[in-house]
This record gives sequence, C-alpha cells and structure tokens, in this order.
Amino acid sequence: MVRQSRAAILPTNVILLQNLVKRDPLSYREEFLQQYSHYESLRDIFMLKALEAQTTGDTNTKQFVELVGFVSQVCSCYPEETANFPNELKQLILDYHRSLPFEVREKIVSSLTMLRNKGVISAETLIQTMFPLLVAYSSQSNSLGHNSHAKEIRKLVYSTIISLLKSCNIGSKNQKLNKSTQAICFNLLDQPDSQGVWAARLTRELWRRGIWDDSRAVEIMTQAALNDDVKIAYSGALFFLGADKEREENFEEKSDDEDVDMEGLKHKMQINKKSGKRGKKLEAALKSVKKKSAAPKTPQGYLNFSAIHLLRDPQGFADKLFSKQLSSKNNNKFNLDQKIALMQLLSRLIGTHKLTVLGIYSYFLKYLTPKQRDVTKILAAAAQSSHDMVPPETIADLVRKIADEFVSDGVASEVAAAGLNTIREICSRAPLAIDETLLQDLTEYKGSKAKGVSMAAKGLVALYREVAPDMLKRKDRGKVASMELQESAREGRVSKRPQFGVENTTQGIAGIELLAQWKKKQQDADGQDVDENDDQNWEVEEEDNEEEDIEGEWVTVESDKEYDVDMSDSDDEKEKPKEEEEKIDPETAFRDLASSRVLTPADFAKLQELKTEQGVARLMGVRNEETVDSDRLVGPLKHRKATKDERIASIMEGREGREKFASRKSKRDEQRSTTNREKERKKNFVMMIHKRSVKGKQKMSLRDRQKVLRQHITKQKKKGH
Amino acid sequence: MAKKKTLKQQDFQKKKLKVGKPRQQASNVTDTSFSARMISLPNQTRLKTAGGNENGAAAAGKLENDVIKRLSLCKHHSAITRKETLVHFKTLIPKVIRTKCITPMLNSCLPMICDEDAQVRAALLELFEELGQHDQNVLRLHSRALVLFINSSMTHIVPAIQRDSGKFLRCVLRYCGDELVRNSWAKLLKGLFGVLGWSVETSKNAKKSVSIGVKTSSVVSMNSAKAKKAQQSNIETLLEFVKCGCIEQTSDDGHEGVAAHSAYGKYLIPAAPQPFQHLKLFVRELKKNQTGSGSKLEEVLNVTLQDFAARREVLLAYFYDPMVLNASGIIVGGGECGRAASVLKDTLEGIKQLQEAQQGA
Repeated sequence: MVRQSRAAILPTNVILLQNLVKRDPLSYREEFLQQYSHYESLRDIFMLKALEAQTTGDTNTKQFVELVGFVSQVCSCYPEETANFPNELKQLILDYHRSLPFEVREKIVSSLTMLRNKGVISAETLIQTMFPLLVAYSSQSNSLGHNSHAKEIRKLVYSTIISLLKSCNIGSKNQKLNKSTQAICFNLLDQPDSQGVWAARLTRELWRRGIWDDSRAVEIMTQAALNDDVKIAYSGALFFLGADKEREENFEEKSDDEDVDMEGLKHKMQINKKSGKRGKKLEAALKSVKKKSAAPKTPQGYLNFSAIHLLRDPQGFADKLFSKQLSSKNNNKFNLDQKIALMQLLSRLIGTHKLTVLGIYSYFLKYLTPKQRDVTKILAAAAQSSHDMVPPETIADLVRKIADEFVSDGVASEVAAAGLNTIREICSRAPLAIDETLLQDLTEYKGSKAKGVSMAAKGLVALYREVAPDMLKRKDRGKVASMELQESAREGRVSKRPQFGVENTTQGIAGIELLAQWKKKQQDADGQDVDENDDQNWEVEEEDNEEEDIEGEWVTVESDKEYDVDMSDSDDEKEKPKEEEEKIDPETAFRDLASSRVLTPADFAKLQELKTEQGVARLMGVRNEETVDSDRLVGPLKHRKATKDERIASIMEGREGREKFASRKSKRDEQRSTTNREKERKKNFVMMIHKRSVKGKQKMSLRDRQKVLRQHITKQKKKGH
Repeated sequence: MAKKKTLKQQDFQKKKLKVGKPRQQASNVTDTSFSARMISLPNQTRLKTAGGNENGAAAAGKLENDVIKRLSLCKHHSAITRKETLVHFKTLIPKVIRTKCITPMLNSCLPMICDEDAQVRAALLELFEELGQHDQNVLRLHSRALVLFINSSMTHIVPAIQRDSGKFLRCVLRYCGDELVRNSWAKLLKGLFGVLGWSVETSKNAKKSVSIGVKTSSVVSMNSAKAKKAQQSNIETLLEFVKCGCIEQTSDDGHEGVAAHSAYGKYLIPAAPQPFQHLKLFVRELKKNQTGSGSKLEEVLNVTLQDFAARREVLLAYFYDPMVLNASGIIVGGGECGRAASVLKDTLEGIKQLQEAQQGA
C-alpha cells in the first residue's frame, strides 16, 4: 500500500507529472518550476549546438520535445511563471528552424497551436509565426538542408493555418483575423519569387469551405490571376472557373454524408423484440436526424455570391487579363490548356458583366480552325464572350470565320454541327452578328443528311423565328411569325427587328403581362374572383411536410352547412364562346396588378411557370453566368469512340448476374473434412482389387462401361454447384 | 498415385526457369529499391586517414581515429559499454589532449552528465578529473557547455542524477572555478538550491503557492542514508562555490607589485581561453521582450558578474536569507550535514561582513 501511494505522488516521468500538475497546480508548483528550468537548460543546450547537425533520436531531443509539450500543456496553470514561454517558442522556430531537428520543429508548431486553442496566444501571433515558415519551406531556390523534411513541415503548417482560420470563423466571422491574413496573402503575391502560390492555394481552400466569401478574397485571386508567374496565374484563373462549383459540392456532400434510415429503424422497432437498447438506439438516431435538420447546411453568415459577381472592377480586371496575360508578347509561357482557361475566364467575365474587350474577338480568330486541339472549348468561350452590347461588326467577323472554317460540305458532320451550334449560341446572345445572306445560307443545312447538322440548322431557324423572323427565308418563318409579319405589314408598322444599342429592359416585374392574362382567364373560367386573402398563397413549398400527418384524417362534414360543389364546371366552359384573347401591354398590366393587390409567393411561382412555358426567359437577358457547354456544341454523336473506362463499364454491365466462365475446380477444394466417398477412392488399390465391386467392373460390357463413364463425367461437371 | 499436393509441398516446389524471362519473385520478397537524390548518413562522420610520414604523427593519428570511432559508443544502449568507453577515453587522455579530437570527444561525453546509470556518471567524473589534471584550459574552453549540462542535470526529474550534479560541479569548480563564477553565478546558485530542495523565494511568494516550498520527492526520500550523504556533499559543493565566488584569495603583501603585474597583464596574451567570453559576442540567446514582468532574479540569471563585489551583492540580495534559514534548519538536524551546514553559515556571515566593510570603506 505504501509503495503504491508513494508511486502515485512521486512523479518520475513527465507524463505523470503533467497529470498531477493539471489536477492540483498549486501543490506541484515546485516540481513544475524544476521542469521549467530543465526546459530552459535544454533550450540553451539546443541553442549552443544550433550550428551542429542534431541527430534525431537523441535522448536530449526526446526530452526536449517531451518538455515542450509538458510546459505548453500546463502553462495555463502558471501564467506568471511562463509569461515568456510562447514568445520563446516563437523565436526558436522562427530563428533556428534550420538547425532544429524535425521532431522539435513539429512539436513546437503543434504546441503553438495548442497554446492558441487554450487562449494563451492570439490567433494573429500564430498566423504571424506560421506564414514565414510556410514561405521558408516552400522555396526551392533556398538551399534547405537535406534533412529538412520540408514537405512534412509545409503540410503541417498549411493544415495548421487552415484549421486555425476555420476554428476562428465558427459562429461569427473573425473579420480582424481574416483581414490581417488577407493582407499577408496580398503581400505574398507581391513578392517576386513564386511564394504567391500559397496565397492562391489558401484562398481557394478557404473559399471552398465557405470561410472566406467576401470581395477581398476575390481581390486576392484577381491579383493571382494577373501575376507574372504562370502557376499562380493559372491557379487564379481556375479559381474563378471552378471554385464556386467546388463550394457547392462541398456543402452538398456535407449535408448528405450519413443518412440514418429512420423508416427502417421504426419498422425494425415494430417487428423486433422491444428492448431498452434498441429504444435508445432509435432515440439517438432521432436526435441526430433532428439536429441535422435543424443545423444550417452552410456556416452562419455565409454569402452565396459567386466569385465573379464579387469582383470590384470587372472591366479593369478583364482588360488587364487580356492585355497582360493573353495578348502580350510573353504569352508563350502559357501552354494551350492554360491559355484556354484564361480564355474561358475572360469570356465568362465578359458575358456575365457585359464588358467590352474588343481585342478578344480577333484573338479568337487565330484559334478557330477545326484542326485546333480542344477547339470546342475555344468555340464555347467565343460564344460566351459575345453579348448584345458588343458592336455587331466585331462579332460578325467571328461568325464569318466560323462559318467559313467549320460549315461547309467538305468537312465532317460533327465539325459542321459544332460550327452551326456555336453560331446559334453566338446569335442567341448577339442576334445582329449575322447578316441575312449568311443566315439563309446556313439554314439550308437543315436538309442535311447528318442528323447533328440538320438539328443544329433547325435550332438556328427556331432562334431567328423568335428574334427576327424577317431575316429568314419566307418558308422558314413558320406560321406564327409570318402571320405576325403580315399583320404588321398590313398596319404599316416597322418590323421590330432588334437594333444595336437598344436594350431589352424590363420595368417593374418581368413577364407580368403573362400573369395578368392568366388571372383574367382564370376569372372568366371560375366566374368569381380568386380569393386573394387566402393565407395559403403565402406558403408555397412547406405544405408537403405537414400533409403526412393529416392524410388519414376524416374531413368533418357538418350537416347544417351548405357546400358549394362545382358540378357544372366542365359544362360551363364548353358553352362559353371563345373570345378573342386581347393582348395586354406589360406596363398596363403592371399598373393594374401591382396597384390593386400584393403579389404572393404563389403568384411568383405561377409567373415563373408561365415564363418558362413561353420560353421567354432565354430572350429577356436574365441569363446570368450561364455557361456554354463545350461538349454540347458538337451535337449528338452517333459513333463516338468510347474511352477505356466506358468500355470496361459496359463489359461489366453485361456480366452482371452472371457467373464466371471458369473451371469450378478451385471452388471444389474448399477446406473441409474428407467425405466417405473420397476416403473410399483414396483407399489403397491393392486392398480393393479383389473386391467384387471392382472385379465386376472388368466384366462389364463395353456399352455399360461407356454409360458409366458418361454418368461420371456429367456428375463431375455438376459437382461445383 | 496422384496425391493432391498439399500447401506445404507447394511452398517447396522449385520454380522452373524460363529462357528470356526474368526469374520469378518470391511471394515474400521485400522491395528494397529506392529513389533518392541524396543519401545522408549523418551518424557516420568521415574518418580521416592518417597519412603522416613520421612515426609519431602516425601513431597520434591512429589514436585520434580510435577516439572518433568510439564516439558513437557514447550513445550505446548498454550502460556497460558506455562506461567502458569512458574508461578507455580516460586512459587515452594524456596522449590526445593536445589533438583536435578532444572537442568532439567532449561534445559527445558531456550529455552523459545526465546519464541514467550511476556507474557511467562515476566514470565520467573520473574522466573530467583526468582532463583537469592534464590541462585545465580544455575544461575552461568548454565551460559554457559544461554549465549548461550541469544545469540540465540539476533540474533533472530523476533524483539520482540531480544529486550527482553537485559532484560534477565540484570537480569542474576545482579546475575552472573562475569561469564558472564569472559567467553563471546566479544560474548555478539557483540550480544548487533546486538540488538541495530549497526555495529561493522564502516568504515573499508564500501567498501564491500552497506547496510547502520543497519538492515532494525531497520530502519523501529525505531521511535515507544516500540522500543524507548526497545532501552533505552538495552542501559542501555549495560552500566551495560560494567561497570561490566571493572570497578573494589575494595575499595582501606586496600590493604595489601586484598592481604593476595587473597593469602588464592587460597587454599580454591572456592565459585562459576565451578571455572575452563575458561579452557574449558569439553566444546565441533568446531575447526577452517582456522585461520587468518577472522577478529581478530572472534578469540576473544570464548576466555575467565579473568581480567579487558584484557577486557578493547578488548573493546577499537573493540567496543569503534562504541559505541561512535552511542551513540553520540542517544544523539543528545535526550529523555530518549539520557540520557542513554550520561551516557554510559561518562563511556566509563572513561574506556579509566583508561586503558591509567594503561598502563602508
């Protein structure tokens, strides 16, 4: 007993002491001080030996690592005695990191993180310590020692920074820290050597996690995209192209990572024997489901703006990007993929913000030949970069070039389809970019035998039926459009061809005339006003959840109330004469509707539905950041060479539910004891030879013997089953 | 009879070799190929070949090689091997003390001050004695590292190592006491206090800590014979250290001549290595940015104290009271320790009077 108790209070190793100190800091103060001074002496030894190469696994190193961990664990118990400790660690790692062994460096980094978590040092201090390390261990030009473990340290430091920023931004955003970190990122980008890659990586990672979502972070990436270094510029471009998608995917993944099958559990509870354990399991599952549904999918205060929308100066950025990276003399440093990424970024910028970068259209011309590698991507970029605010002459060159290069009888059908589809995409954005003759030439392809080509040409025709039917040939115009044209000709009106510079702006609410028309129709049909004060109009989507509970209930029908059951509804409609639908002007509709009543969410939902029905949304300029899919430009392909993965997938699909064609022999020899039959067969030949069963076989007729052999073979074959 | 091949048989089957095909790898083969730009073998120091023409030089070179070869044995896992190595070094010292290999030897021997085995420590102590007897300057040159390692052993968590630190200090004090008291007066005093289990802050910080001012380990094993003996030796070490640092051993006769000598001395090449060590020109130390936050003792810890008066002042200011208090406690306990403590107490009082007399003068 005595020995035990003595062992409990006598600290013979640091871990034990740490436990004791944490429990009762005041009583073990002397021991702590002793260890602290031991730490100090070891630290001095390390600094004395700083120039010599420290071998790892040294007892001193081990002790020092242990003590650093110990002191940082318990230093919150003795704030006065260890006031200088974090600062010492910081100096050690910053000034002597080259000469310290890897274990010590690692330990110091993790201890500093721990100190931050305990609130001993501020997050800013930690950031200020980590960034220099990140820079010091990333540069290749810097001659680091061969034992520096640069990669590990980089990884450690990088993950430390990420987790620090993550933990600091839980709940509410720590704007101060974010701003200071972003300032460091800006400085990194300014530096001549390629340190800025860290700024770009960090920003992208934090953007993906939704920790940084402000315009400052976007500004960092614009700086990165304009950087001289190829890698940094490319990562900047990729950020704008893909970061938002990544972010969405990230949050989606998070939301559906582990789904508890509640229905299944409930069912099991009904069937299985009821026990306390099962009940508890169900409760826990229920709790987790509730928690998950209650918790927001995205962090608090998270802004769902895409990076391109948060740009401060899109026009300036696009101009600089074009003049500095793409069209400058030293654009040879980029390879084709990088150039395409830059083109895509530029075109997306131009399309989203309707910018004017006139140089890019002639820049595209160089690449628009069918033999160009990845030409569909460039075609998509060209389509994306055209919009109605660009002078039509500029885009007309582009269209002409595409028509010349891609759309002719001498090229493969996919090429022609891609060209036509691209022209359609361009013209849907800038209808004036094509002249009548060219358009009419191109529409001739609707009779092509290749399906893709004819579909593409028909698409072009369909587009111009809506936009400017008078540019088409007479027979292509279609019934509605030609009737309209005739009517306007009769009335002497000018045809409403789109004109450059006249914007199709909407005032009030887009498409409200449709709603007004619909309302009117409904009123006529019902014969009474739709109840405007109905609360249900305000709730659109939420009803579904509650329905389940009500489903089985009976509706109480009170006898003394009269129910107005509409029996004659269908009859009414037939009788009603089809009245001429009068057109409602958008302005008057807006005035009428908006002044007379408040539009409910249900109304807006209906409006949306009507708009899509009419297909006007595409033409109203509401397209925002809609990207042109480069794969779709080619059109449907009949015989495309499948990739290896696809081929293997299809092979595997065919094999589903089929057993392998192979010998079953291997399956027969599973581990088991021998059967009587096998024992019989293995029995020594000499012992068996005189038995009648064997001797009888000799005397069998040839026919019988053959029969037996056949039987044996079939039996052997079936054996594996 | 075609018997089924058992697994065991399959294992011993000979693989047929085929022409034009590489030999089949065994199933348990380990891939030892690696790709590295550089291979570093830090623990294999390059051994210099002794290419001396003269016989004596060749012999010396051979000895040096022998020492360098054995350096790695200082980290051997077996305590006996380490001890044997130290004993071997001791026998070599008269021959190699003037050679270059003495510095790497000391560098790898010094960490053994904190060795866990008592025999190794004893052997190391003998080695230091031998070194000091042959050339004091070697120890003087390495006094800084010595102080650091002795200090490290003074604060070691294992009590046995802690107790033995006094012996090392005593030994080193004999040969390079001047350097020690100049450069690390307060640090070593504080360390000795720690070894003896005395607290530097007697009553000032009583409110802060509940602890009784002594370590539990020293309380529990206070009365064992070993502890008593160690305590006595440590008190004696403290006494010697204090004497060395505070009491000038100048004979007062021929005052003029001495003054003249000292005047010459400034212009001669100094006898001791590193005479300007106290300027700390080539020493790395962490800066403290929060000066004034700690107690004043911490500021004194890293300061060199060049003259006796300054050391006496520091002693009286920070260490005198607790020392007298604790010494009188031990005197009451009596025995060998008590005798040593009483001598210490007397010396301390003498020092106090000396300082007061000087200040009065």
